[in-house]
Amino acid sequence: MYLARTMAELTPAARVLARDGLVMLPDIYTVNDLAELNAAMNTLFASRQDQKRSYVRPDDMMALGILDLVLSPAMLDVLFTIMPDPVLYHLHAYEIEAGCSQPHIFANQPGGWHRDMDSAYFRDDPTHVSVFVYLSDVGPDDGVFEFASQEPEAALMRGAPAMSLTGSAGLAFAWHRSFYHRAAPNRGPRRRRLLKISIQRNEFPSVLMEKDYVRRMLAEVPAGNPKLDVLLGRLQGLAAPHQAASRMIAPVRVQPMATVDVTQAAPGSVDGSGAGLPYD
Amino acid sequence: MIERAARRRVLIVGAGRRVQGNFLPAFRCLDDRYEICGLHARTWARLLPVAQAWGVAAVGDLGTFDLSTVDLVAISVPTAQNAVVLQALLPAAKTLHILIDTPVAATETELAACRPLLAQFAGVTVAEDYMNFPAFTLVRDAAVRGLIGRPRSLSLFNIGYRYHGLALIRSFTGFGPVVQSWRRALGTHGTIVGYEFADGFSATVIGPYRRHEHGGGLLLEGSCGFITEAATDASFVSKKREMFVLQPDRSDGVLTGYAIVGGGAEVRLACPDLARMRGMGLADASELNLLRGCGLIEVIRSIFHDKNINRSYGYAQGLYDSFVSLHAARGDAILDPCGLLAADAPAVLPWRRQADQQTYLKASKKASAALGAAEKILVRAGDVVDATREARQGDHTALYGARVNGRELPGTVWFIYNPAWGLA
Repeated sequence: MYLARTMAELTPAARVLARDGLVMLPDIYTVNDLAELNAAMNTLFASRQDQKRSYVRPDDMMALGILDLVLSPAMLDVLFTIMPDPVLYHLHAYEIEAGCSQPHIFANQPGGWHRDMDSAYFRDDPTHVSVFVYLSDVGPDDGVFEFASQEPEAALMRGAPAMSLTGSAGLAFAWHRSFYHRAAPNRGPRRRRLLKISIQRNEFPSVLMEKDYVRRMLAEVPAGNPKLDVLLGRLQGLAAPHQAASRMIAPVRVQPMATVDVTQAAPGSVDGSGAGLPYD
Repeated sequence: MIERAARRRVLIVGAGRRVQGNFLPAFRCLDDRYEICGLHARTWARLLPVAQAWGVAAVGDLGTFDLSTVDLVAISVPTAQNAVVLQALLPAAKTLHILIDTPVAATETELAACRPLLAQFAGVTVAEDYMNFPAFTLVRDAAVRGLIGRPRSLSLFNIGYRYHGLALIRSFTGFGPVVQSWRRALGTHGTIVGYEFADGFSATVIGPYRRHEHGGGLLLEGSCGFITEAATDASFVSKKREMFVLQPDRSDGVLTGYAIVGGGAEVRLACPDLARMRGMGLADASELNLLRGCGLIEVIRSIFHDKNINRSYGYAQGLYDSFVSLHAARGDAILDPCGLLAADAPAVLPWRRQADQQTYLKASKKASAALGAAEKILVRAGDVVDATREARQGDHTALYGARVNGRELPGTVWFIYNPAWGLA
């Protein structure tokens, strides 16, 4: 039984996540870092561009020699600012195909808007959070991530306040997975590439750690770094020590500048992948 | 997704050449996002003709102007006046965002006056337009796409004016602080200044500055390729490294954008604002001035709307570049001015030289043969000396706080004979 944190126990960034659902992050990677990440992944993505959605997984990152850069001190500061014992449950870069008229995911939902039901929801405690870093420039037609900052358990209505996260490669933000969100269609001519790192409190079992592509990576990362040991799930099932970020990330709030433009979304318009929550 | 209109109100302070040539045109290019609600200058004689020419309200007295109706104040006045203007805006500081021109302060007295004032505003953006010139934006974009691997070094040939050059360089490193610097004179006219960064990136600024003329340019070298403005560089490079050429796109001879081509790749950036500014009948419609306008537009976009590289460039960064580049150009020891980047930057940046041959560190400029054993220290080829400050004296250089291969030396001043030393 998970004992939810109160607002008073949260860092300022986590508090913004609990209230608004989304927080802008300072640049995690420099131009030089982004160049190295993309240069390393270009060949692999090029070989997979026939796929609508193509991935570079943790074992690929290990093989490409960029895992240390992906999980850089600046990224660890972000993750450990959001929660004191984050465990990975997504770690990949992915591309979505260009020239699409539909969102790449949940296109059967109104406008593609959905909540992630594989994540637990506690009103004042963001237990499941994703960090996105754009690895390509994302304009309004490039599969931009869109987010509704309303109370997540209320029905999503047309005209609800929303934000559209356009920006240059390197733009980084964290978002609460229980809030409504979507990827707008990537109508542009280029595949959209981003880095996705999702984390959850250590008390929730991470299904990611069971994947072969993660096991292969884990086998090569030596134990002994306290933060990485928590993040890589080596303390799952145990009381993980809480770690503070070396440098606390100051939250930057973003105001909704747009509204949801779909026909009324029914209260149940959530994705179905959460059938049988693994944590309850 | 339906975007709400969010037109911001901007007050411009200053009516000089920079405002007429860049600020007013840039805001006009962004008139879907900004309304110029007023223009202020110290004298009516200076203010009225500009306000009339641009059809904006003339604001004679900042003290009586209702600043609560303003979102942004753009300031472009002589640096000595910045503190005066900021002081006048202070009553509305909690809600005002400031866009302030470079350099923000030219002296440490001005820095001390401005810095505490700037800290009180809701937000401050520095109008560092140079690093946002379309060509440089395109180079960063191409690098980020991974065309040349991880960038290792950037050379600016005659295009790296002091703080503008350093800002451009640091835009590759997340505006990280310089960790080491060096300078070498090119006769009496020019200098070469080098900067190094914690991530291994290095940059060289070769003077003198000649951006207003053709020639010069940049060379960005990465782990597996490079971007150059000189197509002839192909003659001098290994076939194993991809070469990309940065070149202007022109239509009927008129600049319309930039392209980077090579290795089967092509990246382009169109600059539609160039045509719009050409239609404004600017007194200075030179390419360089129009590019300044394009750079400024990118800066302004970052304030409330776009999330580009300027988001990270606040006044502390602008001041840092001004003062570090100033010290570097003089050959003084470089201090992190007043702890602007205190958490990240070393207080003193060492100057470094490497011995090209066996030679001496000497207690005076006399020939080594004339010095006693206690007055000279033998160093061998490859030994490295660094110092907290250097002062060139003819064919010798005086070093203060010198160390050899990291080992501190007794005394405060040692001399080296320049021909025996190269760059480390």
